[in-house]
Amino acid sequence: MDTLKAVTILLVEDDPGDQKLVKKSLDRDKIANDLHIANSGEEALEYLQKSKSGSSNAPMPELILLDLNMPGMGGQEFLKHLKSDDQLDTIPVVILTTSDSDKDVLETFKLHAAGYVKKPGSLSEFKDVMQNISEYWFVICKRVKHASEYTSRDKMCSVSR
Amino acid sequence: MNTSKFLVMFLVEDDPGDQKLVKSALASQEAPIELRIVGNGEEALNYLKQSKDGSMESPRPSLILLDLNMPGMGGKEFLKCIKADEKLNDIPVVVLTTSDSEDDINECYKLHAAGYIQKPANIQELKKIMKETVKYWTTNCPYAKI
Repeated sequence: MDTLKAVTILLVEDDPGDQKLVKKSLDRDKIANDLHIANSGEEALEYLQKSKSGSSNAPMPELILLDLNMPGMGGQEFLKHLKSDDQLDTIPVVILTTSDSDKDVLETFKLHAAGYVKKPGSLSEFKDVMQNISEYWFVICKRVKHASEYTSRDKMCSVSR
Repeated sequence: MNTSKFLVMFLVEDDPGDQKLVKSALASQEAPIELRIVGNGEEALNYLKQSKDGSMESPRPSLILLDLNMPGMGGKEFLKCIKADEKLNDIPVVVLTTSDSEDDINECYKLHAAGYIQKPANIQELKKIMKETVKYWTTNCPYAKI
């Protein structure tokens, strides 16, 4: 029997418009994915606590997409927390933000972010970026165990017929 | 005045065959890439410490490709050193190696590698991988200034 798995992605983003954009882009991604959304740094940390304890409705993400500019706990603060946690520090975090200030970029790389993407203007650009990010992290870089178990959408379609 | 911009990449790899492979895979990419190659960890650290943004002789790389299995200072040791250096720890390091041991993979990510790629069997595969990798670090992530 073909076991179809989806990679788990956690989006930490407060803006509903941007949440939609990311969701739409990933819906059409080549790689089957399960997207979870947290509206703030605090909510994201709560989610991650649940996934640490093995909760089935809070699967541990294989990739985190993080907005820098959020009210309350900002993106950089969240990143610091994540990187100081032994069970969470290997999850790649890609920053998705409007800022392209050199200072912000430098600081997030010093905090060991695994990518920094300035939010693209259009949905199609967003799709392009998301596709490249999933390809890089899920197919090329061994961030996902047994990457061959994760199937592309093409395979999913033919199996379900 | 020379206004052409390059993506400065740094390959830390001791095997001459592998050096050739990576060089060839990158030469076929569209992005203007300036590739510097160093055969061991110590030499790599020395280069990096005196490298400077915009220097013609020793430009500071925007991305480092690192082999794990090297004589002398191994890849992991090098990774540890670079991440402990205030002036160098922001440079993304992508591990490019033959090992696919989970221990190696995990350890590299714990040492803050920004990617772990198992060297593919043939040059075609490597070209594809390098294309996506370069695209990721240039088009999408503005850190790799081009």
